[in-house]
Parts: sequence; structure tokens; C-alpha cells
Amino acid sequence: MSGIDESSPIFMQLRGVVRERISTGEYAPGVAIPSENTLAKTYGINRLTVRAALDGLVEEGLLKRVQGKGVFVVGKRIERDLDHLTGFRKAIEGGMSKPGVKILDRQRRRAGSAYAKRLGIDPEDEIFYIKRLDLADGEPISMEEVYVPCELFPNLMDVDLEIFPMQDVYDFYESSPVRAWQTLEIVPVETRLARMLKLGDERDALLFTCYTYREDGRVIEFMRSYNRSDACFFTVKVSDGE
Amino acid sequence: MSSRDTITELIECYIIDNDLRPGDRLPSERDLCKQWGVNRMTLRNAIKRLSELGVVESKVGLGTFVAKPKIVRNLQDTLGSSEAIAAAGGELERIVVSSRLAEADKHAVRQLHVMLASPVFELTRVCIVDGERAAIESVIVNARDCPGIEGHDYAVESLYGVLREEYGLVATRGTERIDVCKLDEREADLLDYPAGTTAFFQEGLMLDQEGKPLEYFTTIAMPQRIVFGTELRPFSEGEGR
Repeated sequence: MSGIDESSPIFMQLRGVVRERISTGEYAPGVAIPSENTLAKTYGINRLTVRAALDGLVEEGLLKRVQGKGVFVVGKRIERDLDHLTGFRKAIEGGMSKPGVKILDRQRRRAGSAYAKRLGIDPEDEIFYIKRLDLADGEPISMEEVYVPCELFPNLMDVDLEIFPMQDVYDFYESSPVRAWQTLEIVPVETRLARMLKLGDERDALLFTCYTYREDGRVIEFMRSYNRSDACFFTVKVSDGE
Repeated sequence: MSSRDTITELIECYIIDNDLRPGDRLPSERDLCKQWGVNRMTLRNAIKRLSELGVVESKVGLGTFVAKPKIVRNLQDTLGSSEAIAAAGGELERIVVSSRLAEADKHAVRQLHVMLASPVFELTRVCIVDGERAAIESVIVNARDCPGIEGHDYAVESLYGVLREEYGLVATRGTERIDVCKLDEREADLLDYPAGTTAFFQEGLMLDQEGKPLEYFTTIAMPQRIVFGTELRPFSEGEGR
């Protein structure tokens, strides 16, 4: 590959190997590659050499180093200009804050009629279910439940979703959303969820529901999110599409 | 998943698999408990959850029924609320609370971008959807280009209809904010709910065809029967057509 041969420096050779494995998908997008220690041991090279090999790929944006977690493969990404999208946008009361995500549960399960209908698949098909807490400055803002067909995102169980937003995952698997149908309701929440969201005496939350479609009209995601109404609000641009 | 969540989903599946329609009755609690091997308490919790989500409706002594779907108010269509509610299959009546021509105050200047003391038309109405008090709509319209706007009966006429037909003004685009509020005494009184009840608070500015501010509105809507909906798509698609 690109002029690397056995006489090239070892770090260049290793870089070539990792690059190759990313391009064949052996190292899947969103998933951690073997640790630097493992690579060093496997090939009998110095850890600093491994680091030098990976640094180049981090700089290129093919890999992402996450403190204390490892080195992750970054898939293809599509630039989006949010100002050019209509639809609801969530805004945090009081403006800027540091976002965070905590994955509470994730599993592979049978779709069942209720989610088969929403996702346009067979009840016997498998889906991924992800439950997560969205944070702003460490405080809970919303609890989200995401349902996606397994078939579309085979490696999703291995993707670190605290690092990669679902949006990135869709890009990685070339299932980029082109359209979504969103609704906003106010619903009472159960005690457990109220406690999780630190609602205090408040019992109502903003329920945001979203069906996301890709180019061929297939639903790639059904999402439900319960939002603290004191912490965020939604804005929408409206335009006469007729 | 908790057993409550499992049962909640089982009920949803039951409705789909048996093709139950709004108004159709679910089997008795006793039968469902037996069929799924769950205790009565768990089943009741699941039914309560689904009724809070507006999927089913429990009627004392009669059983549990599939609920009528909430009215989806699509914010993308730039329809006035009367057209939107009609499009969603609801029946709308309105009571005019106040309707008057006024001079723009500081609030109007800020929201509608008009000069202080320029003419504005202020209208507040209560919407009754399918016989239930559902929303309070307040609007301020820039009245400079619409003389005589106050002379219509907005209990029966649609404001967007009057603007379009009399003055050739159409609300074409704008930005809205949707938040949650608690009804104050006056709002509670107009809507016939207890003060402090949770409701949608919607506010926005709509521009006319030329991009000039046409109306600033605030709406307080009861969430029991209404859902706001919007389609996410590239903005350019809807523009310039």
C-alpha cells in the first residue's frame, strides 16, 4: 500500500496494517481497536512505536483516542449544517453547557408487533434497544430509548455509544437519515423516571418521539425521549412548503 | 425490562395484532392476567401507563378501550389553527375573549418589530375542540397594512382567512418555540382546568410573503388532546417553491 514495504520503518508498516484493517472493516467504525499494549506485544515492538504509528491515523481522523477507554475507529462522517434543517431542535435553558451521555441499557431483542410496526419490519426480526441518559453539565436532561433494526447496523452492540452519537453510527453504516417525523407531547412520567431525571415534585415531561428515514424510505430508527421541561425547550422553523 | 414495561408492550402488541380500533374494548383484566400469567397489580400499572400516554382509556365499570388518537398539529404546514384542526378531523369552535385595535407598546415593538404607537390588532380567543376547551390563542398583528381588520367576527372567521382574502397577506414562514407552562388563575379560568395544570406554551413570529413580520402569537394548549408534529428535512426543499 502506497509505497510501504519491508524496508519501511516499522511504525509506517504498522500504520499501513491498521489502515488496511479499517478499510476492510475488520476494525469496525465506532469500535475500539486492540490496545497499544496488545499491538506492541503481538508484533514485538515498542509501545512508543505503536503510538507513533497510530498518531498519524488519529491526525488523519481515522482513529479517535479516548482517555482511559482506548483508540476507536471513526467511520465516514457527513457534514451537516443544522441551520438548514427544519424540524424541532432541542435547546437547553440558559444556553451553553457540556453535554454527556450515559448508557443505561442496551440489548438485542425480538422486535415484536409494537416495534415491528414502527420500524416497518417483521415481528420476528431482531432490533437493538438502547436506553440512555442525556446530561448537560452532569445534570440529567432527558432519558432516551432508541430502537433500530439489527440488520442495518450489525456491529452496534460493540460500538461505544458514550463516545459516538447515533448520528455518527448511521453515517458509518451509510444509512444517513434524510427525513424524520417528530412529535412533541406532554405526558406524566412514572416515579422511577421522575427520580432518574431529578424532576422533584414535577410529574410531567416533554415526550419527544421521532421516526427517522433514510433515502430509500426505510425507517432506520424509532426514538422516544422524555425531557425535563424546566431544563430544555424546543424550537422549530416553519415554512410554507406548498 | 421490568415486568410492567413488558406488559405495557404486550398490550400494545395485542392492539396491533388484533387490529383494534379507537373505541374498541380490550379483554377484561382478569382474562389478560390469565393469558399472560401476570398479577393484577402489574397489569393495572401497565394500563395506567398506557392511559397516561393516551393509548388506552379506562372507563370505570366498563373496562379499557383503545383511545382516540390525539390531534396532531403539524407545525410545518403554516395553516391557521382552524384549518389545521379541521385537517386533523377535529371540530373547532371559538370564543373571542378580546379583539381590539391598539397602539404598539414596548412588548409589541420587541416581538413584532414595529414602531412604538403604530397600529396593531390584538386578538385573544379560546379554542374548543370537539366540545372541550383546548387552547387560548393570543395574537398581535401588524395592522398598518390591514385597515378594518378589527371589524370581523373572529368567533366564526379565521384570522389567516381574513388576512389572505382581504389584504393578500399570507404567513409563509417563521420560528416557533415550544415549552411547558403552568396555567395561571386567568388561563385556568378560561380553560376550565385547575390553576397550576401543566400545558404547552407556544410562541412564535410569522413572516409574510415579503419576509415582513406579520403576527406574533402565543398559544397555551392543553396537552391531553394535542401533539405537535413536524417533519425534519433540508430547509431548502421547502423554500422558493
